Amino acid sequence: MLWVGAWFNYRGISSLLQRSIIITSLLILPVLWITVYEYILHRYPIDIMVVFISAAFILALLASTSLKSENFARLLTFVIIFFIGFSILQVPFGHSRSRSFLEFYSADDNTIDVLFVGNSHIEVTVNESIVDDVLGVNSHVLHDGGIDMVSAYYFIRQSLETQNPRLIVIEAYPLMVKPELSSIMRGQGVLRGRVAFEAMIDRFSVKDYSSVLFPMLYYHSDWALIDNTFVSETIRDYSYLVYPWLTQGLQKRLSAQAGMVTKIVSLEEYMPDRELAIYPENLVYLDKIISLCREHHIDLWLVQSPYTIPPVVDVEAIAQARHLNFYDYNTDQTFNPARVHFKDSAHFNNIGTVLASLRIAELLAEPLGLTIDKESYARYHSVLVKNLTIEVDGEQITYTLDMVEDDTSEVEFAWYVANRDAVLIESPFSSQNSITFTMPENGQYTVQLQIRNRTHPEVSVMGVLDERYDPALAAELGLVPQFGAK
Amino acid sequence: MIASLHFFLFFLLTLGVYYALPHRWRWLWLLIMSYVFYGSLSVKYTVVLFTMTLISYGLARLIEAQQDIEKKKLYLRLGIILSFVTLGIFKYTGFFLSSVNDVLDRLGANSHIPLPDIWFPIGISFFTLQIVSYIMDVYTEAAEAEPHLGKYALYVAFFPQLLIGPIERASHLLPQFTNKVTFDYQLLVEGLIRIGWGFWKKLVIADRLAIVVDRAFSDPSAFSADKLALATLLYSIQIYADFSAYCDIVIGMAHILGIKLTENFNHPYFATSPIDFWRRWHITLGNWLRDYIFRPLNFAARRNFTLWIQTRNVLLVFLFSGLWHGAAWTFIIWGILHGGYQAVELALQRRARNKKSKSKPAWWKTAFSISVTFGLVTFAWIFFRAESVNDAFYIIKTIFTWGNASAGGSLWDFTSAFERQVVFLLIMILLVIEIAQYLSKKPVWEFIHRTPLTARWTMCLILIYSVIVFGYYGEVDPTAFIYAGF
Repeated sequence: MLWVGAWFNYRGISSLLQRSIIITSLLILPVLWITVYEYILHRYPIDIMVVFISAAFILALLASTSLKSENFARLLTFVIIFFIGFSILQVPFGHSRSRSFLEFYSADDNTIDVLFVGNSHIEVTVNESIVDDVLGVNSHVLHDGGIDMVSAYYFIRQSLETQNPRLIVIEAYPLMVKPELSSIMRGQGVLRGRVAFEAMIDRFSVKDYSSVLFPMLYYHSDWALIDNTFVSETIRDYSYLVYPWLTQGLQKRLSAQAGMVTKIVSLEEYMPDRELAIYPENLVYLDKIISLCREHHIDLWLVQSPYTIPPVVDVEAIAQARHLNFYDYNTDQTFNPARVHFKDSAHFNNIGTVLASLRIAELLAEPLGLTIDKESYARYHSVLVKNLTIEVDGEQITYTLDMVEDDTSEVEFAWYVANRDAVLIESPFSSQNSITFTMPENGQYTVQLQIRNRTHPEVSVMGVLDERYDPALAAELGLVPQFGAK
Repeated sequence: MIASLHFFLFFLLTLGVYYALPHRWRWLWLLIMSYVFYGSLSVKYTVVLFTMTLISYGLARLIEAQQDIEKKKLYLRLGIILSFVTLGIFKYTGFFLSSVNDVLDRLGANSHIPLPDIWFPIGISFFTLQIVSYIMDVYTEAAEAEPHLGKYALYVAFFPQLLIGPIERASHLLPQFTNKVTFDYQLLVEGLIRIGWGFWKKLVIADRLAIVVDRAFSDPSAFSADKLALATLLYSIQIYADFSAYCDIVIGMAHILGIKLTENFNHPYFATSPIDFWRRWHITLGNWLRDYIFRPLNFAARRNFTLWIQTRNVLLVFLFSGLWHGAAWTFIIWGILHGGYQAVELALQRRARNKKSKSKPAWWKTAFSISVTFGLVTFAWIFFRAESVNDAFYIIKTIFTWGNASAGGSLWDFTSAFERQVVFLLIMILLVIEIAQYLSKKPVWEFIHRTPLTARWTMCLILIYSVIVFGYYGEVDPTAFIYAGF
């Protein structure tokens, strides 16, 4: 458009013709655009109009005899400098806040052997550092909160731009997330380059193109979060989830977590899995993922994370129909219904994550042609718990943890009990596998436990045993009767 | 609306066609776009606008054509009454009826007058004043009746200043629609810089402060005296940044179109007295009140112009001003308060008439006067912003008794410490720029425009980038301009 305008200017086309063309382009063509987009593509045309109007405006300026060529050059140079600077600004202000993607992009090319893809469920089901340690591979969990299978497809597409994994594991929950713009929007700033552009054309509404190309326009308020508190807390929280040996600042985390408990939920509210359904569009994209993996000779696995209450959706049938390798954590009684491994009805706590990571490592050893490093495995396995028993005697409550291994002499425990305001009990590491305490008053309490291997103190796990203590729910589940009543 | 990207693009479209069209058709294009703009808010608004335009056009033509002074007066009165009655119906019916119901309540009446559901055409307060000024100017022969209905309709509906002014005089604006204007690159650059400055004040300063101010004024009882005092101070900054930003944007847009709108602000917070403040704040309204209410009232009482008459006239003018700003008792008190300030100042001036010194006051006296005036204006803003008269008195009482110390409400608990620091830094930048403008008597856009190319571009880029990075926009629309509610 610019050059057409410049040409007009150069050639000195009569002003009547110039004006006719400009007015035609400004008035008639947008109408055609609207017609095409509104009635054929059923998409909102505003952004296309924006581009068109802007271009037409510049054309109009060019056509004006008053705009000298030096001014035009100046205007154009300024616009180019602006866009260069604007693109640079995307780096500090348009970044994704996803640790998973930041680490992924910092990895060298073709160094990731195993890729785990999904949303929060895969995040808490697989700790890649444990998988790496036990299997001797380089794995990575590529996830973003609440994504659907469409986003998972583009995540895999993005990963294949720089990596060539031998095996990809997809967690099944994205099949049950409604594919819609808001879901894939969460991926903004995580996709880059060609894949971002393709995703934009494929999935985004036209009016959101600018957000895809310049994520800071969408996340522009992130600047307000870039302070020490945000950075340190975020990194620490992710580290806490992913690197279980990081134990510093525990008390602060405990206080923060206690402060986060804001609502007592009923069982009904807490069981999203009852409403789960497979969205057909997600299946289409699962098939695309399968094709993509076959094309790249990548072994593909589908796993289903566990729930405290078994899901109603038959993911196994989907996997079987597509001849996919499949593993369902829900069929393993180690996890279900032992709430000691969960922080809510569908997400593991750290104790559960370690156990689940070891399990996936065991499963993948054979297809990868690898053997389990027994020493590493034992180090992690020795800190795993089997069951939690809770006994109430009057106003006293006793939590006791049973270990997976019969010999618990290698394991040390540190117990923490906190309410909304403060840590009430903070016991040092000892061999004491139970704690007894009296609730000072009615209320919600967070019971947390840190376990470490005495011979390998760098390996420790912290789990939240009772994060949202709801007496009614506990009574319903038969875990704990009412307590603390005075 | 005005501070949105879409409006900017609407403007670009208007601009492109405007300069592409032959000069004789440009008024028609502006008129069409003005009605499109107003109709985009609501089509029914355009009916009100067009009806008022048509009536005032006809009456002004009759006034001019009529030789009989009594009939001229009749048409003038008819024009004024019809304009204000229309304004009254749309703006004050609800207020009037609820006040009647309040009185009925106090008298113990059981029945109430039902409140009708009347919509409010945005901008009616502004274009009513513009219409009345036109009729009065034609009557006093300060302006000629415009024979061209289309151009007169454009004078009333000119889209940049339709919603919130500046309130233009026919003698100033109408001839400009006939002036032959060619596209000027300098006009474009000057206008764009001014628009950028307006966007900065609106999106970076005003809308960020709005979050804090709204919080305090929506529930004053939750905040201690220091926080209410801070919120009041911040509101002074917010309302100035908001309203002056609007004026910068629309004056900049009109400037690019080759139309000069009247300046509405002249560093109002550097006023040395309440009278001086009204020469600097909302100048076009101040001039309108002076020319069409204050002077006629003074003229009517010229034979017996006592201090009492003067005081009464000032109070009447500002009562009108308060009522014009909003149909609520808070605005009426605000107006009376400003009227009171001015009455006292005029009385003091009368007494000191003979003692007036011609020498320039010492800097510290000027600084003291500025501080006192700012304090008085800020105090009055409490009524302007408060949700009710009771709230306003509560805030005043709390601040002046330093009370409610136990209130735990925080103005900032939804923002990070970093954001707070940035907000205060940005306010400081605004303050420094305002002081520099005041001392140099040169507006910032002119300063930027006159600097060498490299410095100019750097400043322009910083301005645009800071709007993009720090502006309050994105998933939510920018907050409406405060004066759009009047």
